Amino acid sequence: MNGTLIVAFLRHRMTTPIRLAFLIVAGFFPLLFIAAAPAMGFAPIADSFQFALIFGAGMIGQDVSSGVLQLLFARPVRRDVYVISRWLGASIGAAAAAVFQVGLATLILSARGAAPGAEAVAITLADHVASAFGATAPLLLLSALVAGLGDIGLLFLLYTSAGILQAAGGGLGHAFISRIGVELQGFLNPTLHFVLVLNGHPSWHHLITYLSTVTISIALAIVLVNRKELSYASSS
Amino acid sequence: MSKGIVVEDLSKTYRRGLAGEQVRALAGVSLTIAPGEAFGIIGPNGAGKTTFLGCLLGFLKPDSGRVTIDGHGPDDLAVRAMTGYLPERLVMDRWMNGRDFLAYHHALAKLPAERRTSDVEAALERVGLDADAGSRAIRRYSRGMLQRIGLAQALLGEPRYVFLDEPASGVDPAGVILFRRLIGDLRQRGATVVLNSHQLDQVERVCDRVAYVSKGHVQAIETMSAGATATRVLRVRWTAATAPTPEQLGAHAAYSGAVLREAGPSDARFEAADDATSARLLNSLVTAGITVAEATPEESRLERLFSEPRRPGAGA
Repeated sequence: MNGTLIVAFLRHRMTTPIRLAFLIVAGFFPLLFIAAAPAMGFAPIADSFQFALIFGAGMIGQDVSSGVLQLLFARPVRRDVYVISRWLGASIGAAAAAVFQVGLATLILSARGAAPGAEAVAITLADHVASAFGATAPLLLLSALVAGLGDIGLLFLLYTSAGILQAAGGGLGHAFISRIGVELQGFLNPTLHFVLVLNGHPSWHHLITYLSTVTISIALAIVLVNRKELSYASSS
Repeated sequence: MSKGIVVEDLSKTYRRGLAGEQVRALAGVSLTIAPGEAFGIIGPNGAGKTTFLGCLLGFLKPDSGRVTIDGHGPDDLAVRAMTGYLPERLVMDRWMNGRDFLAYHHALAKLPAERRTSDVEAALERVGLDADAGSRAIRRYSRGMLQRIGLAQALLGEPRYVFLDEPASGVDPAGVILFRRLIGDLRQRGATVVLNSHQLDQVERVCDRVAYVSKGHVQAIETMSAGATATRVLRVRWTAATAPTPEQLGAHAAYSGAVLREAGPSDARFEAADDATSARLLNSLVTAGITVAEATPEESRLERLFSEPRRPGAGA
């Protein structure tokens, strides 16, 4: 991990107007539902997927398409360190936004007379942080595959495919087709549910799926970036 | 001990288009660049110069052959730590301001943090960018300013190997002079400079040796300090008071071994086979009382490389 890369990445994300606009909308819009219907608790803020998208979209692809990778890799920076730093930068940004959102939601719920217990707040925070670090990993892999913001397009395509598979499996009565759709969706947005841990029923399958998805995504992204050739001569 | 840059039998092929058509960018290039040398790379567009530079920097993986810098692979982190690079396409982190950009690269280069502020200010000053430019976002920079900030980042930490891709492209005359001075400074402190440029006069002025690359081969390597051994046309101009007749000019040419191509009232064009012939001709004219005001080759040594047909691999 390289602190310089992480800090510069976060600074870039926080100074991009379009990302800031999305961050404000994604951060505050669900809070309106919480304010309007406090009985729903934290339900309107299910996970950190939207923050992962805002911070992570194009995390490698934009560097490839803009050409800054050449200058970056002319420096003593290992490519695997660059990839991991990008993932950490996006994850830290998404997790911080999620923590801020959960904090605001807690304040709103308290003000509306539906204050959540400390345990519920802790579980929600842990789930959201895990979601932030999880969702950015497959996005990192997609960003290493395609230039620019093509990862968003690819993600949308895969999500749609997962939805179609689930619907088709249900309609045709083939459970395995639905299962493929569910697993694909799970791969794209890995999450953890700490409430199960707290209740004494930790799902090891769930935990291992989450960790393997994150690890495999990062490993594949490193392989892809390591194989990348960096010269405009190759594309001219 | 520094071993310089060694390139052995380097080949690189690209696949292009849907049919995967193979385009050979480099074909068995071998050369050595000595430590402290200023080495130029010239050639027509599509000759393989950028691919060659890409391989030297470890950005491209050659199909065969190898590059070593101080005995290490070009993508070795130890090599990266002593390398400065200015790309032709000035794609930088344009959202940063100049000062932050240099500080960012200072940190990436793992240079001492306690020297960061002073090094950044010194780098800005070195390339002639004032404090205001340092605080301005890079996206608001002109082409010339981009070139200067790019050069400033390439020179951070006094690298021992500096790769410059078209360093004076889009720069005003003052900037060109500055770049020449900076390259002179680099040479004085013993840095090895690899310069890829279309600006032949600049290359000729700053480089010790120049490789002419065409069709993926190094067709010739010119040592700039050595005497010219190829035929060139010399234009000689004299003052009106001492104007010789065409017959006199023909006699001087014949005496010195040159050939009179064309004679005018104030100048003439001679074909000289080498430096010695040129010197004999000028000496003969001056001895005869002709006040020679100017003697310039019509084509520089490097320009000549572009006009002469060469065998593939002739100079490699």
